[in-house]
Amino acid sequence: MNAATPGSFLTHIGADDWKYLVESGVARSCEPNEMLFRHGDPAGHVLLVVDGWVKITINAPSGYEAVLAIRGCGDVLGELAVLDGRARSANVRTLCETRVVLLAADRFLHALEARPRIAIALLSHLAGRLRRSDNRRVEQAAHSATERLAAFLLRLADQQGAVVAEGVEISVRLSQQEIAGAIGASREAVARGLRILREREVVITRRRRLVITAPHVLESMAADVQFDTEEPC
Amino acid sequence: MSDEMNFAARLSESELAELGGRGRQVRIGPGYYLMRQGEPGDCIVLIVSGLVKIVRSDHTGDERLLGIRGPGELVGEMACIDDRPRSASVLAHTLVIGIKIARNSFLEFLRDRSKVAYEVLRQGSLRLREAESKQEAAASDSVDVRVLRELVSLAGRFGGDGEAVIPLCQRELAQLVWAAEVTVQRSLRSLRDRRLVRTEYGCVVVDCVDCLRRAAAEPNGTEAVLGCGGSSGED
Repeated sequence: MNAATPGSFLTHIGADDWKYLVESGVARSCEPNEMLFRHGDPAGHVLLVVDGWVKITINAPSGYEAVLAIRGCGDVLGELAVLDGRARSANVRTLCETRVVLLAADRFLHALEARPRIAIALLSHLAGRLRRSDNRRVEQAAHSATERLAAFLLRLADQQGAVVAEGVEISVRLSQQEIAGAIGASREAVARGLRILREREVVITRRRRLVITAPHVLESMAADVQFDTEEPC
Repeated sequence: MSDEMNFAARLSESELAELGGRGRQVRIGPGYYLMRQGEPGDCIVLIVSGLVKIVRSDHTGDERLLGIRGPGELVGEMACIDDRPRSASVLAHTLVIGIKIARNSFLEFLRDRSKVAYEVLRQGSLRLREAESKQEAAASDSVDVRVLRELVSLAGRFGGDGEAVIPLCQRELAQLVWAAEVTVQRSLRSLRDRRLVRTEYGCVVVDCVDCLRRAAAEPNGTEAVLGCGGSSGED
């Protein structure tokens, strides 16, 4: 088996307990880009990732599929819905050829009962996700939407910016609604933030494109806004 | 509070008695801390009566309200389980009576009683979903809608079917719905004009929780429901 992805469930659980879970389920090989869970589906099982990578996505209102997180070897998927009996909260899709183990809900719950250590490991894993979620919430609230927007645009420029005559151009294939989701603000706040940046001549917006003309101004606005890249889902 | 979130209500009498037997009763006056952010997770508290606020300081030292917990709920269990410093403080809002249980004894109990471990897991799962759905709502729903929804949920904690006095200031309400205080003030003004709430110093009064629930159930932007001002409860 491959090494566990940092922060995954396997880093909280003992190797023999992981083996016990894997052997309680049914192994399956999946093609790249296969949909494993769909948002809103009822929950009948959890998946253990044994090898490969999956992405967790949500459908933005515009139809764009926003990626919330990437998960790999040693992770458990879909456990929240099995634990609390509600519907799936996100989509899960394979990124490459991936091997998973399918564990029916009753088998998973039985394993938690038979081996309380597994339940405690899962709790520890959930606690980490709750901490990150609370942290993001508090740190987001400490900065204005415009500051968060500035930090987000800088990160996009870092990832996919191209130098042009006026500055750094990013092809923003994200709607205002999607940016709002990414920075935890309302769409109105994003529209207002973009207007402010345009008026101050920090950015130029074109059809679906955005050029940062004064990166240093953006940097000072973004100050110490931090994005948690390890988003829970 | 829904029964789903009530930890104690989901345990059997014998499980609850056994858990209680592992701790000792504590009384904490309003304004005092039960736990502090940054401390090691050395104990949990099962709240028997009273209400607590969960608050967290950001990097500038500003405190923000993350949530309210009440009778039957556990606080402080996450830091006991993942063995990291407490991520938030717990502050008594009223006089709180609780059962304080040392970390080791609590963990031992979870290992012995897998059904209880499962209930703690379920609580964690529900809290995670609550946090995530609030974040989604912050991106897709208007502040008016979020304020109305939050008030209905708070009214369930602080009142009955008739009247509810929610002892939170507008700043704290803004923190709970992830919105700016000025925007929340505007939402409250419009709810006041519709006679759904009254705002007093440090609290929001709902004269008729039923009217508030009906208003929250309306499609977005309808705003047809007006408050009865508590008169219908007297029929």
